[in-house]
Amino acid sequence: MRGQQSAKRALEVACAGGHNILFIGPPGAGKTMLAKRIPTILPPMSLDEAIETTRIHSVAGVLDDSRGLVATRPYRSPHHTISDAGLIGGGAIPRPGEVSLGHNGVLFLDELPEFQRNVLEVLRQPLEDGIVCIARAALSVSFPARFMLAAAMNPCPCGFFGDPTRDCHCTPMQIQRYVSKISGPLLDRIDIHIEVPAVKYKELRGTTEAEPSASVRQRVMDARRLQLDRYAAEKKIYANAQIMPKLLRKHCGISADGEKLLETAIQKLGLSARAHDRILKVARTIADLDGIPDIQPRQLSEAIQYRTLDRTYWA
Amino acid sequence: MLFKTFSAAVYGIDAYLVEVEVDIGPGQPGNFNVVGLADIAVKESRERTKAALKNCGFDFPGHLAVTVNLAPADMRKEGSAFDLPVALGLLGCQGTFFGKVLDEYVFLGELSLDGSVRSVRGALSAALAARERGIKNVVVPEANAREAAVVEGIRVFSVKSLPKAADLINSPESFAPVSVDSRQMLS
Repeated sequence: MRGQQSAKRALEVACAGGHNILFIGPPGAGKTMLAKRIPTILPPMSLDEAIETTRIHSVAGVLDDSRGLVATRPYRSPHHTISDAGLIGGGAIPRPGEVSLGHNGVLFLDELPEFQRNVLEVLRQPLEDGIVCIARAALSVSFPARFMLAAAMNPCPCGFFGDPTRDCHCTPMQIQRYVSKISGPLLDRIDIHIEVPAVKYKELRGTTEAEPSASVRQRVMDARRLQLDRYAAEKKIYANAQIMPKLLRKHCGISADGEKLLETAIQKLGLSARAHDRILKVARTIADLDGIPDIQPRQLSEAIQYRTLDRTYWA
Repeated sequence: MLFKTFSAAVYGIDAYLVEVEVDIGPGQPGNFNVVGLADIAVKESRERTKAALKNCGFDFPGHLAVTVNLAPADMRKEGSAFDLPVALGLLGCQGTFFGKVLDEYVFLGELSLDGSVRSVRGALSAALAARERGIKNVVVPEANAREAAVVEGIRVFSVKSLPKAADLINSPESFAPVSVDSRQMLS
């Protein structure tokens, strides 16, 4: 994939720490291509994960029978007209929905503002608990649903807000309405926002080699290993994205310089307390990727970059 | 005349064992009832098993009444995976298996009208359920064999047709279980 260095870096950070990610950019910028890369840079599935994923796909009737075992992390990309039952599962005898078919993999929601609000609401339980409970009169069933959420959206209804080569014809009111279609609670679960601008012609035609997924995956795996060690004593935490606020202080300490930087940024950009916690988590992941034990101002600066929506739309 | 086989039904992503009981006896000739909270696809297996038996050269006892019970009877059953065990039960009632008891097997498979066995959903979960209940042999459609064979500690047999399944029961030693290397499948 050509160009898009900062988006690729954001993707690497997201995969390294298990953070959910939102891509913002004009049509054709490559948001979908980026999302499709995620299964290739996440660590490979263990046998247990593969068996669990295969069971779900088998029950749903989507297993490719020539292989027998789902070998790569699933990538599910439902269209934005999907119903809530299609997304989380349902039916008289409940069958797995897209969130369960994406268990141990990626759920990619393209054109996020186009999804119906009530449909996005049902993502709360899987995003919080990693399972989906479906109750019927006679029985109640729970399906596993732990996935990495990737989403994409245009910056405005016409798609070209901020684009240097094309004019955006949207009024500020239209943009505001468009962006607020995404519910606060859902946005709260997305740690990283990254702009994906249109790729310049030069980059498309350039001769520099794109980095192969395998080496990115290796860095992601190394960072994940550090996290497994760090959280060995905590229950049910395997990656930085899952840290509870009260554990932040313990595991994401920053220097006095860092504190100052963060405070300035938050004041200048008008970020909320929630954004503060998110920046710390992402900075912790970046430090893991860099292989250093303490978070430095450099990592904080990069983490602050990943709050695009806060800065551009709600500052 | 009563004949029992085991199958499996899916509940969420888990499966549980279902005992398929087939009873043939005096009653209204041509009656063929499936009970056990079976949904429409399950009930349609009557048509499929009847045609499959006839097309494979077996007899269908049309002059007697047939009752099939899918136990536990208070759990809703769905899908076409019970076709094969029902057909085998009908054969068993007619003495095809010489009274052999089949409690060491779990059977799954949809039947085509010509008797070939088609794939089902949830074979992996069914194999896990069989292992949990201590049943060592799982007989599945060819398309589901690799998936079920991932489960260690059981023997998975793949069958292409109803006559093949009947042969398997009568001479199990001439059939080799399917084996897969799961680590290799992952890479």
